[in-house]
Amino acid sequence: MIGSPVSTGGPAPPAEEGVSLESSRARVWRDLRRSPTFWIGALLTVGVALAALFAPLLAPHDPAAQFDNGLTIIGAPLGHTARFPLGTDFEGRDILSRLLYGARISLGISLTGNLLAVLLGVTLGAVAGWWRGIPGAIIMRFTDVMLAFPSLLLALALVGIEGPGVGIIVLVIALVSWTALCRITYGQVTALREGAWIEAARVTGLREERILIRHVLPHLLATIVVYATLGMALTVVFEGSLAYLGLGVPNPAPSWGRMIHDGSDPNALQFYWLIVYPSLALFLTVLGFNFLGDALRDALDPRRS
Amino acid sequence: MLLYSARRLLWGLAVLLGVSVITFIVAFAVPADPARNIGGIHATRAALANIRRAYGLDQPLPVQYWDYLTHLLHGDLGRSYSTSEDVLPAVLGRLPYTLILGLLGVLFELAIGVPLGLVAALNRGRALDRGALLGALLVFSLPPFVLGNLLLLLFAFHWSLFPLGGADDPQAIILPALTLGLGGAVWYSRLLRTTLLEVLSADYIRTARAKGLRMRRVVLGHALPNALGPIITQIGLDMGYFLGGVVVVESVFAWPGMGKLAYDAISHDDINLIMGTVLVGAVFVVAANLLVDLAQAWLDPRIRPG
Repeated sequence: MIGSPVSTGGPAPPAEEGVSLESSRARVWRDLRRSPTFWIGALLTVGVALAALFAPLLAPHDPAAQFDNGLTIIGAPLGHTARFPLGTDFEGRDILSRLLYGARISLGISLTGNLLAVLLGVTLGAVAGWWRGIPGAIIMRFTDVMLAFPSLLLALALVGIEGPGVGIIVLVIALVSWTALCRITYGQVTALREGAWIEAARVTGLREERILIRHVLPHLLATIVVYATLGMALTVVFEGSLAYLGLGVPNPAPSWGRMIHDGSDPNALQFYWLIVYPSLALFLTVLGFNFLGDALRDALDPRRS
Repeated sequence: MLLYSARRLLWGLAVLLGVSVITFIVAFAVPADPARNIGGIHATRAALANIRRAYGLDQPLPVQYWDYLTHLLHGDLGRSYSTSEDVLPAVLGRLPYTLILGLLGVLFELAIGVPLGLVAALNRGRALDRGALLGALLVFSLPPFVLGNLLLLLFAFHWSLFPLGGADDPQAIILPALTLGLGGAVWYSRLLRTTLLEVLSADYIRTARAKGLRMRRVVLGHALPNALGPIITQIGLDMGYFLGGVVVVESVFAWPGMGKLAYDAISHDDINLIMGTVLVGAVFVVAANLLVDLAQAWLDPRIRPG
């Protein structure tokens, strides 16, 4: 993952229980409600999620069905017709139905892969930052090594060895995407562990793991939420890239990345809709998560301008 | 400076050693039968047994790793079984194409990103700044294979201004480099805006203004050089991600670099060749980071002791 979209300066001061926490929640919601970016992002992501959930109800056709009347007399794809609103592909399959079912693949894989990456990154970063010492050093040096890999090439090698399948794609996405959040968690936990309220918790006799989970990690929640949202945008792109390069979910499952790949054949370029509609679907999905992440960061970051 | 350089170099080598452990695990410990990856899908049972013996695959893993490492250090990355070429020369032969494309991509990133960030920072909060943010989010949400194919569709297919792909025409590099650079450009423009705003609130900027220097002089002469440092560091750190973009863009435009080689290797299940591009790519990333670190230390003496 690139860059550091969240300011990681000093640790946030501990929220006093009760009133102030409630009012800060109210402030976040007030900020979000006024942000057009938030509403557009929410609209787009909810829209794609609904398309994925209700694809069987919304799709006019079976996404894998090859229609005899889905091709022109010379066997070329059809443009817009009443029966096929977004046209058909070289196989005579309905593009709209494939896009709707493709949302399931794109979102399903990205959501699971990203969730695993967040769990992995936060756990490793928190362990390394809290206990430090040799395990911490090993974890952080391992993170450095992983950051040196061209992640897409490593993913291609892994998927190539195991053969494309949903499980391995999810796993590979998680394996190459946890590093950024691990570094950020590490940085924040190392800073937070010096806080006076941590000392106080220790004096009351709380166990170390309990202090970490109950009194440190909650302060990271905002950062994690922002990163997980922006991470969704990156994983959707990553899954699409794998599919574009021929290592997505195997046929005949519809995948946006491979649809774009099939449409980008020099002989297919005249049938522009083969590229344009799946591109639009991917773009709007990624845009939704980026808008949402950006709005959340602005509302949750107390150090914003 | 010398001590610092030596330490950074040693650290880079240590990272590469770690990289070799992971590529070893990927190539030899993850697959159920690594002999099949070496011999290819058509190898007979007897051939597989021979490969196991010849490659020492019947040995314990640490012995195998040592063997693997000695081969790597001698530049032996194995043989591609789709072309029977040695992997290292095959990958290195494509490297110049990737380097020139990558270099032009980074140039586009800076040439578009720096002015954009500057304009946004100087018009903070105004319509121009918000427009730049919106534009950045829009462009950044276009994955490289989407952007590349749309550019190809419009400028190469529809208007025939550029070739459809390949590297025969000197013009052919423009669209792939632009695809590569645009996403980074908007990303770094946001980063530059943030660092510039931080720098502009520093004391020495106030001093420069108080001396009566014009805002333009202050920004271009004092603030921008100081804000560029973090951007350069970030470009170095993002090199691994950037190379992923290179692979995709080369595949879109049939640009004959390392990424296209990896892409072609996939369709032949040529794991050795893909692993070769992974290793050369990792060396490239580590070298780029080292270069950035050393350049920074040379420019800014405060970095050296750390």
